[in-house]
Amino acid sequence: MYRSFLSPGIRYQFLEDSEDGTFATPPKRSYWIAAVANPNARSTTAPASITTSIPETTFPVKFEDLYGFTVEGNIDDVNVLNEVRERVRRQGRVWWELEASKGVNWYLQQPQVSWNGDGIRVSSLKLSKLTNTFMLNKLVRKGIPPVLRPKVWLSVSGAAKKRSTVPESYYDELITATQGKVTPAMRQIDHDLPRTFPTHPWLNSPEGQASLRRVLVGYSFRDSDVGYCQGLNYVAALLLLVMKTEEDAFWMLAVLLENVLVSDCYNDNLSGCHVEQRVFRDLLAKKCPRIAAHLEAMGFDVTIVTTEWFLCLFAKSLPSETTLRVWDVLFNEGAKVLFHVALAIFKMNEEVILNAQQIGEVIHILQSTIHHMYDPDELLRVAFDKIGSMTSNTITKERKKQEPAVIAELDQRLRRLNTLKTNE
Amino acid sequence: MELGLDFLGCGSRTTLALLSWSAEDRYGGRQRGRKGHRFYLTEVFDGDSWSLGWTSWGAALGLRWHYYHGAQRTAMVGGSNQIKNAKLVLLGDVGTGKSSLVLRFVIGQFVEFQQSTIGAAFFSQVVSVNGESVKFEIWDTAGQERYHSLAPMYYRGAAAAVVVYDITNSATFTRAKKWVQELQAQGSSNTIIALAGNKADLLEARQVTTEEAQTYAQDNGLYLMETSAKTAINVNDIFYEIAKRLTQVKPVQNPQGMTLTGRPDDKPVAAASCCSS
Repeated sequence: MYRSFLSPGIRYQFLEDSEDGTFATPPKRSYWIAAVANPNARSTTAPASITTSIPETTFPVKFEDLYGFTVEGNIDDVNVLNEVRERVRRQGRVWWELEASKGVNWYLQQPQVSWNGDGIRVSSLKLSKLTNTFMLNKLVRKGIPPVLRPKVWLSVSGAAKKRSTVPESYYDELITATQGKVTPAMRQIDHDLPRTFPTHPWLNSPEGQASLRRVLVGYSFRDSDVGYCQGLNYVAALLLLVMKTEEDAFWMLAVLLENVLVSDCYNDNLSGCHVEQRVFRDLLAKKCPRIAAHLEAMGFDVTIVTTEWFLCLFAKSLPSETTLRVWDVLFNEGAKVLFHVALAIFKMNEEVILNAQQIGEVIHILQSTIHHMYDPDELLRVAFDKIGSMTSNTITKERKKQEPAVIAELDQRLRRLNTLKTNE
Repeated sequence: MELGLDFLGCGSRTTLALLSWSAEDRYGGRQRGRKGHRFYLTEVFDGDSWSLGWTSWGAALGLRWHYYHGAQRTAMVGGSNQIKNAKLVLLGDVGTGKSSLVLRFVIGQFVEFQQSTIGAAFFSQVVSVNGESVKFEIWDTAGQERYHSLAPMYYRGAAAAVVVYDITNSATFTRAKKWVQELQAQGSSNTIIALAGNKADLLEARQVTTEEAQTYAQDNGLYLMETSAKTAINVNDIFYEIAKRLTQVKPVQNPQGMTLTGRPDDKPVAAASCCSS
């Protein structure tokens, strides 16, 4: 019965009835009655299945999302989630139709557009290919259907291309090479395995942990500069849940660290991450000057909250389905997406943040809203339409500007610590 | 009908507080107290009883001014409203149980496998000692070595630091000593540093003896406690002890130390000069 009243059918009945056409939640009581009146209304879209529910006015519920995470929220969250899924499902039809008309791998035929400092270089100016790119960008922002996600990610991120440059047995050989060895990275990985989304049933199982271990250890052998950095465990875990196979997850992780994100993000002093945080601070001052000024007056350094967002790519903060919608765009458009989304989170909370007077309040506002962002469309709409454009080029310039300062700062710290040691 | 304003000069403190509370509540937000709105609906006292009525912008401001100053006076006199904010940072090697300690202290729970902290996590908790309240703003930092380059951001300006080591792992004690060293060199000189030997329930696996830690703590002027987030031993005590030491430190340097529900930027304006009582 609880399942039924969450079904999109009922939801949409209300939506059609509402005069102003808004998605306003109908009165709770009548909603409940409507649900009882349609006990057999079942949805075809696999609505979030509810394990426990208290039919009270607040309707707090616990449910499992598409990727097996247990989410606690209220009935409105579930409704939003179902609505979003329905939108993605409709979006799926567009993808199937495109596959039917343009061929299965139509999105593979993209022109190589690159910015090389001087300007835009387009390798192929064939109109059909360009329209494909624009269409793909538009489609990806609206969400890749979960079934197609592994395939589309592999191709748009360049992971498939990366894999094609090495022998097919590369991953298996890499894993064989890791066996019987003990490295500091391995010890750290073993320590973190049970601490990675500990409530997720599969990740908590021996197979899940073994898979995650192989991916992380494999990567630590591939790139010894990165080795293993805390945070990658969350990223790799989510990749595994999406990609289904370890090898695909491994290649997604590789392309993410080597091509999509800024380099040195996870290296031994996180210098890339420091750069990104400084760039973000400047962007916030530029794009949301009121918030930036208010937070500065309060003595609040935004990077104390945003560091986690950038290192875990929101995996630890946003609900998983929203995170993956962000990742859809991230793999297609590059690391600038993280700035867009982070700025959007601030922008969406602008008024409340401006009213907050204490650091704790601001952090609480950000944390509580980010955990309940079940509507990725709203987030992405703000991120790309309200923030204003930022080209990868301008961000690259900003990074170049910040790099010397970061290196100097890290060096200074290292020297200070060394003098401490010699004094000892 | 500007009775609200007329009444301001002659009420007792309680009635004033009541009067101004309603004013603050209704127009407190910047969104509502917009300039240009001539009249505001508020609770006014018409001589006999409270009722809803209209009052002018000036009267509303007057109410707010009175609220602000009245509240400040009450806070000074009463003492109970005085909350001292204190930034506290937790440092220590990976897996020593920093997050578990905080969670035991803040929500009183313990889970065997705590999610690994990335960057840092924020918590707050109020502790009362000797009639004074200390609101801890706790920064729980990530333990992995490479995250240490972020640490200065968190310990800068901290009133207290808890350096955590795992009594079953001597390497974490070495790392704790390094943190103490860094804090003493970089942090402010009056940062209170406490040393927490966590996982004290695992006595059979102990690698760091109490004597060794105690000697080190004494030599460096630290406050040592062996804690267990799992069994809750000494967890509240260590934070309580820090709070006690913080309240002994005079004078109050933190301008935000006194927390008022009124907004500091609501400065009194000329219109309010009628109620200087």
